[in-house]
Amino acid sequence: MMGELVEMHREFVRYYGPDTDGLPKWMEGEKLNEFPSVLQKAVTEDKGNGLISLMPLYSSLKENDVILFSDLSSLNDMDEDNEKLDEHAMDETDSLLCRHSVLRDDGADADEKILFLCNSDDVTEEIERISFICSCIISAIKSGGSVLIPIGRLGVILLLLELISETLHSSSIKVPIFMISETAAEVIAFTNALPEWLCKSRQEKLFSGEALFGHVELLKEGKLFLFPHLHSKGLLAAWKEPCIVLCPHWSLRLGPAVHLLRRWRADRRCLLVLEQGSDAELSLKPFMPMAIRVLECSFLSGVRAAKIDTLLGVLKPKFVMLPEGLKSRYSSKERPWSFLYYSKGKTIELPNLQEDFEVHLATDVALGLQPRQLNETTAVARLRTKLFVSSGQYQLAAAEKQSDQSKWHLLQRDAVDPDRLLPALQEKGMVCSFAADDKSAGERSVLITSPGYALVKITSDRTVIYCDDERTSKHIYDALSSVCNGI
Amino acid sequence: MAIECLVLGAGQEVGKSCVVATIGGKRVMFDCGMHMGYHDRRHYPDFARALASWGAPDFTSALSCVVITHFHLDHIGALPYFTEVCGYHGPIYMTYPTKALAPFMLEDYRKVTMDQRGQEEQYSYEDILRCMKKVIPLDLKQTVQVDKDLVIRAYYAGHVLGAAMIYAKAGDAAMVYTGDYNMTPDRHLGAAQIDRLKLDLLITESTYAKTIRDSKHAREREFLKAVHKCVSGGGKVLIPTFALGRAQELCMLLDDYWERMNLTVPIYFSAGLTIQANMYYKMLIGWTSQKIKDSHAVHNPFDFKHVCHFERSFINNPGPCVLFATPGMISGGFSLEAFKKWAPSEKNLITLPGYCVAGTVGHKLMSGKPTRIDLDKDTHIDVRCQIHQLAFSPHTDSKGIMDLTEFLSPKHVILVHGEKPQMAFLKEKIESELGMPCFYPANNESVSIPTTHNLKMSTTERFITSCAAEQGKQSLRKRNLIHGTGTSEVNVTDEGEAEGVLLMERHKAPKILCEDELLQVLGMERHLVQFEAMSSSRIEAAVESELKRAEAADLGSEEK
Ligand SMILES: [Zn+2]
Repeated sequence: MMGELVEMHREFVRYYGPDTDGLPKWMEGEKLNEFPSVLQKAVTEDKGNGLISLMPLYSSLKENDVILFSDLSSLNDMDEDNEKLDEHAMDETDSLLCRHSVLRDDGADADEKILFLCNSDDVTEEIERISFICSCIISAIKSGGSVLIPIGRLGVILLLLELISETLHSSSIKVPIFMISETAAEVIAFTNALPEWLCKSRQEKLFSGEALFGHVELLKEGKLFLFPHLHSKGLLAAWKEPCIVLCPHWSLRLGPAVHLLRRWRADRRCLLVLEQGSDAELSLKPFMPMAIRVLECSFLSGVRAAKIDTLLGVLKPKFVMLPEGLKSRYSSKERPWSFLYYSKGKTIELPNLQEDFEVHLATDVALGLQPRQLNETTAVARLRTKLFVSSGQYQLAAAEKQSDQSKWHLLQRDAVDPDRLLPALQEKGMVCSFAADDKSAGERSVLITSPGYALVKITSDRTVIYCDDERTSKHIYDALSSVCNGI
Repeated sequence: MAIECLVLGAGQEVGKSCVVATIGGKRVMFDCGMHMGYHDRRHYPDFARALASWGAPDFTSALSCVVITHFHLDHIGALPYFTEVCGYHGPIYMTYPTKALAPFMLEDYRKVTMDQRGQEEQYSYEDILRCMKKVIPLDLKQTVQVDKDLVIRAYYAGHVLGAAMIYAKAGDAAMVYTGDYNMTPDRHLGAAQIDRLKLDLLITESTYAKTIRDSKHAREREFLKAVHKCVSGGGKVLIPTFALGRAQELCMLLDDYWERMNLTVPIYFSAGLTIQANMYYKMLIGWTSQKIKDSHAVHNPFDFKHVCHFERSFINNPGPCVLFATPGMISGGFSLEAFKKWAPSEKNLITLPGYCVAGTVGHKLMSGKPTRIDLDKDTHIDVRCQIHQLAFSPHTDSKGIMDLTEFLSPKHVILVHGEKPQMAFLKEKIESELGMPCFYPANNESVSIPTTHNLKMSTTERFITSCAAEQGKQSLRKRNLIHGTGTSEVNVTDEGEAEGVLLMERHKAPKILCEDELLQVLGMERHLVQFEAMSSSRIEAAVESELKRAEAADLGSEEK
């Protein structure tokens, strides 16, 4: 099966080429999943001109015919854009709920890096949210409690780390930060080694010789500790409470979060930061009753409805695919593209987009053509070429060999008129005359006696040239085609 | 249409790489290097002369963009001069690592030339910073639309961190400029990688046009043995290198060896900048070899365990040590200072890179076994130390050049960055073995490469599918030939090619149709023309009788 995949990929590259622009990129499922990230950024910018920073990206997408929004459930919140942070209590636990406009995307984790690693002004809102979380964390620490953050969003974690350490530093509080995860060391090393994927301001750090993220310093200064497990060697030695623990696992059923939450649940000074989305009540059930404070927060992902038209205006697709559920909200009235609506498990047939194919004809082939005028407005020319397929383009190059003589034919508008053939042959210096017989059978014969002997038999749909000399045959053929209204 | 290729530097020489290619009407400058062997006007490419020949008012309007392949000074050294002194303000492209690391190389060398030779300073530190600010960073395989018609793309070249081969396409013309590259992976970098592209022109380096190298490991062992022997005899090892690239590779080699052999002799880096550079290497792990990428989270190989803090006065300390000092080739700076101190003792060892530019101390040491180096009329150095020439190099060898050329199968090849006799040899080899026309112009010469030009037309699905169907039959027969190629050829029949008709109608775009489609569209009919031999007896008889009849008729008419 692997072999087949490799083979398929080869075929793909052969036809569509290694070029990264154009359709093929979007045909990869992975790329489709990443699409929301493109849209995500649009969310964070206020006006249509906010898209300017993405123009280079879009310009390479422009020729696409179909745009698929993999998940736009986010649109459901389109009217709640400006809802402010609000807090209210949950029944039994003293918890904070920070509910905000949620633009949700299921597979958002991979996308976040791109958006959340940016530290520029255009993500103000997200920064604001993270600042809020940070202030809650600091106040918990100040009250002597520890903080448990089982959030797996890498972008959020990196921003939180920077912000927390800054705040701790400025208020001269010294508490250790632990990151307990089997992938912690790898992730932290990795994030400092991908400058190409970060926002402009982070990239500037590379060019001016600084580390890309604050955590490099934190590790060096011994403020941040990375351990794969709770029972890892050295963890106990470094452990000190109060502390801040990041241990990505949202379910609260696996990993170090379970143990730590058991340890801290009765302490009302402690704080648990959860990501909204999974059923918090259900997640927390095994830990009840609990006194620990719970901060449930949501993070930005998806696209804001208002941005879609702007985006589509830039991309100019022929078709846009939306989830079925949005049919009533989004119709293609007065829009230059049409919407297709999809639902789970149903195949959608796209109308054939291509009526004509584009080919590239080498100039030397074009110059070698011998067009024939059929009437005042139409000319035709026969074409013999080699077809190449390269990087998704059809290319016609010069043919190398002449075709086999025995199979020639003419394309004619009116039947070949034998009466016109005679003068044409004579013009070429041939001595010829009609043979007298067979006129009744619809067949006329022309006899050529000089420069060599030849006989030409003409019916309405066929001409047979009997001749031993190749050059003479060619001359006869040329004369024939010259009297034929065609090629 | 043609690609016009003007070689401003590295034509039949190594040094100051700079080629301006006019492709699809767009002028692109590949590399903008300096020549370290010269300190007169041959130091930089002759920009003024090029500008005059283009007849443009200034460089910004003359060029669409400048693309730099890597941070070596012979590829980027003239860039600050070109932007800040000559006044080029157009786009400049280079990869992320090159943009990050180039300022170090430039500044290090600027200081050397300023301190040591009192050479007229051509550009300042501020110039370097201003110049680098204008640079647009490139990622590998990222297709960059420079303007409406011109597209460039970078491919991994090995050689040094961030080195790239550059693909450029404008209209129908496409080319690759390789810069320096390595076709075999080394201790920290992978081998060059590129797609099979349809190219009119390949411009390749040819430093080792005639050399075929054997196993690298043997050469590495030789180097380690020489170093170990020297330090165990209480000697000092001087390794003159540039701040980046070779320094990191050799240091990885030594650090590893020190670990295995339990050595405690200190390893020094002469300038703080190399330590700084190591930090860059850590951030740019993504551009190193797969092996390093896979393991860097556990152990970053650029965290050198045995490298110790260094101060300038240490060169007077007794006892063995290993010192990495800039610049390479001992053309000045601290490497020259250490050389002056250490060269007179036979206990010590100087390692030289595989290639040294003419005019440098390194070059003098390489040619023969000099016992005395005259720096100027007052300074003489007695050379009694051991000299070890590194036999491994981050450049591809002759086989690598041939392999890449064959893989890319361009229509034409231009050789740069090499020495004339070797280039002549390689040109012969490329022309005879690969059948591609090959050139190796000297500096300030230009070569014109014809390119195929295409007209865009529309065609019907039927025409394409009929070709494709034929191709299917064909490929069954030739299955093994089409694997993994970027361009496949559709041979419609064994002998011939695709047949179609071009239809041109007034006020409509020309269109290619199958014959059947044309017949339908224009209401035409097919008239078969068959060729038969006279010899088929029935016909011969018929002709015979016909001739007699005609003769008789003639006679009859004459009788009238
Ligand atoms: Zn180089």
